[in-house]
Amino acid sequence: MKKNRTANFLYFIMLLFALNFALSDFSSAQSGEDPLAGTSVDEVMKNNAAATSAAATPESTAAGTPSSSSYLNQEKIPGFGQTSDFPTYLKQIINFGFAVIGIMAMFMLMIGAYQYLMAAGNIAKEENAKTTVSSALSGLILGLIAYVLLQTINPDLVAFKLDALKIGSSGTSNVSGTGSGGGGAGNTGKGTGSGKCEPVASGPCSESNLKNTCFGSGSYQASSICNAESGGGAGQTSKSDITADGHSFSVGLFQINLTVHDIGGLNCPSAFSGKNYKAVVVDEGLYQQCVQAAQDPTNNIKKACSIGNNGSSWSQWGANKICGF
Amino acid sequence: MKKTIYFAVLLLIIIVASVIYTAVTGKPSKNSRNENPVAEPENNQTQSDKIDINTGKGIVAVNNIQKNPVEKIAFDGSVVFAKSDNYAMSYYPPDQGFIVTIENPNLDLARSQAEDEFIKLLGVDKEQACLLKVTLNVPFGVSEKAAGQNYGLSFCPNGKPFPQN
Repeated sequence: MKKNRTANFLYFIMLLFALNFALSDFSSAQSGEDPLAGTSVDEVMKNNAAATSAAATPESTAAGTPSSSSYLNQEKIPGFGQTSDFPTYLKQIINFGFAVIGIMAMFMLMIGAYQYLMAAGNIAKEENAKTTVSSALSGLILGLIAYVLLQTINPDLVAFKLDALKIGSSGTSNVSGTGSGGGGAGNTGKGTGSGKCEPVASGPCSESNLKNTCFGSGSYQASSICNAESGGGAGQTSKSDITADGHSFSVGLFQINLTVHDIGGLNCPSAFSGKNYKAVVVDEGLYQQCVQAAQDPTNNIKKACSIGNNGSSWSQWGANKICGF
Repeated sequence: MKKTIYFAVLLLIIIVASVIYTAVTGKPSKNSRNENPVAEPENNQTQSDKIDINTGKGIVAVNNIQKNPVEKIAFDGSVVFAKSDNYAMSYYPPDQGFIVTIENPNLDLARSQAEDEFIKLLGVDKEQACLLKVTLNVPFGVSEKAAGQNYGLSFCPNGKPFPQN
């Protein structure tokens, strides 16, 4: 009986992963991502070559935009696209695991129910079936409790915001703020320019407005960064952060880099092949949706909060080089 | 007894599937203190020819730039009422403020053109324009040196020159 329980528990774990996988796929489809979109080997090689080239090109780091890391995973996690940074890859593996757990749990429940139906009054078989069902359910509930607990403690734990682990993150930025170059490396930000920045006096990025957002007491710094990045204009699209095919990839109040970040529930990086200046738009419709989403001040501010850890970190923004926060 | 177990299992499956679906499709982050951090727009003046701007030093009536905007930004009512290669101008109804963003590295030329256009589009004189809440700034991508400051309108008392190269 003990052996049977162990086997059932393993089945249930697999089932849980599978169910979550199915639901993740559904979620991806809702957000405009095509989870099954394939990339040929040639394309992968091309991307890797482009990424390598980007990393070696001086302007890719001089603009305060992330330098492309030199590797794209050749073997994609089912349901996810290629990525060049380890935290995203880890997130994909874990999400895939959750999906498998879900499906396997559902599968085991069905097996248990079938066993119970077929028991035909045989008490031993009934017990076996009950054990299968209860193991699957208890595992499923355990998995859910784990997820809910992590979500309650800190939503970032389940969102896998592991920017600190990103390859090359010490010298680059995930949010643009580009233009006239000037050593984007570092961005640790102790005013190399004309001094501290001022907050925006008006608009969605004004200090008074940002005070009521997740930035809270960091609204002065947030407003100043916004001022330096976009001038406080919600519709601002960067004229210097341009992809290889001529699309602006830094958009909105905080100039969110769409080749790197999702926004408004849209998987914007999947609209591009490659990142930053080497990127090429492969899904024009999704790109336009992402631009619109990034121009929405509410989305943009929320994303900026997420990137800047609610105002505790400004190093992601190239403009902090002059603001010095 | 069997029926009860079947029913319980079915119910549990539905509940668990619902919970997983909710969790996976994502609920709002608890970190966000305000679900809609941007103030609601004021739409009552969108159709009239003039709109009154309360400057704190009196009312200034300006042309209704909300009527035919170049583009309207969703949800917060911001309108971009002028846009060129050199500048972009927007109006933010909740605080009745104007933002002029310089987008040409030739800052002085772009500022001059923007200020002329600003006065023309709003239908005000320089004196009235100086009463308005106008933020004139330069994004980092246009000029690293000039970014992050509010320069105001050059002909107003609070107007500041751009830093010299």
